[in-house]
Amino acid sequence: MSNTQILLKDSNYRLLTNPSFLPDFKHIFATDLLSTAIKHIKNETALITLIVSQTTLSLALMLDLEVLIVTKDAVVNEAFIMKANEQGLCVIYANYLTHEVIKDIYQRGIL
Amino acid sequence: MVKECQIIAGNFELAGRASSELKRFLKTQSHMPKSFISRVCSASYEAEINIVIHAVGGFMTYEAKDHEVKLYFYDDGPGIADIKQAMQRGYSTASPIAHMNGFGAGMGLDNIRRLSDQMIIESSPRGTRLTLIFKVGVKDE
Repeated sequence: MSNTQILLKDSNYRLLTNPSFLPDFKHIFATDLLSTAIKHIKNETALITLIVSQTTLSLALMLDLEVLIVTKDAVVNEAFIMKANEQGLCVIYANYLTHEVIKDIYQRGIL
Repeated sequence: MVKECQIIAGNFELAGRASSELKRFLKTQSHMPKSFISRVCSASYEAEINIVIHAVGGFMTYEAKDHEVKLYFYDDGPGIADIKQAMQRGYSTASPIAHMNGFGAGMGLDNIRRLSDQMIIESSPRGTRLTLIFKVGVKDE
């Protein structure tokens, strides 16, 4: 079972993209400043962010990100989900704030 | 091989189009490591975003030969008044729209410098030319 599947066992997480694509991730990085992501993200990282825009999708493409966790209050529209699916990106909506996602991933031993 | 891609000022919906095209091309170059491609495209994306945020429009050209990639970004102004100051991490003149899109915190040029093997900036009020050179090497191990 991949760790995205484990994450989704909690009903506070909702998968927004293709259910057949649930990749693993080995690291997480949380930021709303995408230049910081460019600077620090390693391979197989899930990005946790509130920024839901074309810039996030482009960043994911450049950095080969496969998992994006968008946090509570982020507004995700259909066009974003459609583009994410086209790009082969797994997008998960979390009904948690950024620090709560990190805490949850740690407490459940997902990483 | 040289290719050219247009970059439209202020259009965050199309920001990344040039770098995406570059990435598609580099992925066809089987001798280039994935980490190298990611490094080149990340720098390219930062430079592209800079034009979207700060310039009145511009374009990028790229050329790839053996284990080297050269990127050239040209814009039509207004230029960088003080390049030394602009290179300082945290210095930014970006708009709130750039911030809403996750950029404009003054990290772009510093990121580009760190990711590239050589970076040359020439700027005047008529525009800025940014040259980036990447060579497959220790940064990609």
